[in-house]
Amino acid sequence: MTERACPEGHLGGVERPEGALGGVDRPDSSPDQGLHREPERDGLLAVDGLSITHDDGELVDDVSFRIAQGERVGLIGASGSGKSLTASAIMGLLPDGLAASGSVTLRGRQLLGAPERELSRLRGKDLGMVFQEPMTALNPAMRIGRQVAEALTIHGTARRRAADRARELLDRVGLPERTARAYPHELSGGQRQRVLLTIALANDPALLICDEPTTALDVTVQAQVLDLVAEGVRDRGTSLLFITHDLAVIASVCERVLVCRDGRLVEEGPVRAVLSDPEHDYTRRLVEAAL
Amino acid sequence: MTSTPDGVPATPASAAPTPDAATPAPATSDAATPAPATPDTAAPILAVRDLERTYRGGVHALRGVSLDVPRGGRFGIVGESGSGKSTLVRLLAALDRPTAGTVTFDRRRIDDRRDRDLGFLRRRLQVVFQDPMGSLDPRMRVRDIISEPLGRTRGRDERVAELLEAVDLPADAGLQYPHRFSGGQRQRISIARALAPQPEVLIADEAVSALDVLVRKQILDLLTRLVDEYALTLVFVSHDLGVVRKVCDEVAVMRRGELVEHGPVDDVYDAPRHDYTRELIAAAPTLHGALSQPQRGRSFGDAAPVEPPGPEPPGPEPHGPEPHGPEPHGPEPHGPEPHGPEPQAAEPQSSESQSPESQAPESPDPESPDPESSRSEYPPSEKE
Repeated sequence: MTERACPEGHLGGVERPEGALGGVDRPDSSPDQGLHREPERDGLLAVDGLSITHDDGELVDDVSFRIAQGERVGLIGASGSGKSLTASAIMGLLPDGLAASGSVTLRGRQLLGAPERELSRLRGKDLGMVFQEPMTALNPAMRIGRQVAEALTIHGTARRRAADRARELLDRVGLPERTARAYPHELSGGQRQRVLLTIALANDPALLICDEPTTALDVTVQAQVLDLVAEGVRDRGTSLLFITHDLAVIASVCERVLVCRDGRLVEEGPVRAVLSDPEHDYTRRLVEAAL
Repeated sequence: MTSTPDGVPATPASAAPTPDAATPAPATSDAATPAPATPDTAAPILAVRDLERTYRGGVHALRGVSLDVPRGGRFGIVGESGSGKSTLVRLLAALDRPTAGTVTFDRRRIDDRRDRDLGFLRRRLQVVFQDPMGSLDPRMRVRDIISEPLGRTRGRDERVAELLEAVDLPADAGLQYPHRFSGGQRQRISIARALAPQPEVLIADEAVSALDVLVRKQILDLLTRLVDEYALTLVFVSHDLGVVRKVCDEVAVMRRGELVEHGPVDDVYDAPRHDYTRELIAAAPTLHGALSQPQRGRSFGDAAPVEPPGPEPPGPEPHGPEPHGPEPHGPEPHGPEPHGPEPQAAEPQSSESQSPESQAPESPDPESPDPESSRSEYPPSEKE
């Protein structure tokens, strides 16, 4: 593993004290929202010795990293390198047949092996997610406004307020008012991705995980969505884990980068240092293949 | 490599005088192509004139496109979804008929021929598509897939062996079925099959778009090597400006069915004349550019969210009389009270039906999905 000096990223660093930020045991009443988190630019997410195994062997092998409060971290690697699985494990959404071991803590709270009920309270609230294919993540039979509002009411916002807030949030990502009444199929890919981003950020999550969110989009639309992601996390002080194979995208969004290969992290460091002067041979190959 | 294109070389002499389009008149349109020296090869191998394609429902997929693909050139066609590039490919390959306009291949019109009269084109022009799985019959062995375009000729096995070698696949790959191969290997199989009839023109339609970065580089290297080795004319169609720049020497930029700009790649990329080209180039991320510029989210407002407003049916809308109108131009829609602590009401515990994301399936693998489908299906009526 090639490790670089970087202020807040510690690979395999020490355990953080439990509940450093407080309120983590009752996520439904966590008071630490919005900009109040700013001061603690400290370990928000800690992944330690994460391994994911299948009957046939290890898919992710002893991966450790930290994401600080408000930090934007990119995870790059070719397909099959285990980057998406890592994200799935963090969210407790591993496909059947895969088992994760090690430790994943969010504000000191263990996520691996936590009961589904607990995890589902975190997802959408403390953990926001945006995937590559927005069509599969949206309910085709529900109007957009309701889907956004639902994300709010499920996590405790009163119904009436949620509807207003949903419209506000949609407006904030540049979607026109009538979007709220539209169904997913009536939207373009970029618009759908904006809706998903809206849902993911609706509850001002502590961490937003984006897995190839713009890969299927046209370049001009991609640029807009990337701006919205960067803007959305910055405004909220939300940490970002951004997964992609596109180095240029990582370079334009993230501060720090983790390089994943065959289920292992092979290099990490500040994004500019790593991508302009890669130390690991694999990173070098990725950089050379980039356009 | 013994398989040089000696079998069906370009025979410009055979240019059958076709009814109307016998005179392609290459220089009439916007894009006069610098013709290479030799008189024989001066005529473009593909010439498109005033091409229109209107689909049912009034969608103008192509609107008055004219261009010349020079013999031996590496001709790039870039555009976003809904730009008409795929429609153009289908017409170049005579897989579809234009509503108006002409397409000539080596001075012979191909736009108005019946399928059975297109045999010469099927040999001399081949297409490699984006999705190698969709275009390889899963029930056929690789050797049969590759030799299918050859028909029953003698020396098939030798030819298959040559082709496998040409695309760097092991000799025993011929006995396998396509599902055994990775995306990149499948694309190699597609390329081998395309090369089988010793074509002169190879059209690559988003041929590397579904591939992973490292694999993409390998396939691009392979393609360019083969184009050199067999002196092919390459028509390279992609939404990816970076890839086109890498591969091509000439590029045509398409948007909403029109060709907006055309010229040598360096000219177009370094000094784009059309606003749309400029915008496209600015939006396309390059690693070098990203590393030398401030990060996103700082200067919010330049690359504004100006996607077209609105839930419009994906059908016939984007090509009308240019929907200039209602764009949410002011990109800073931040309300005054963005996100104060929400009043936390009682928690409904419907953990199962929670937020839509929870249905998100196993995370998509960048190799498998088909980005094009989501693109072409929903042409975003882009900003102006």
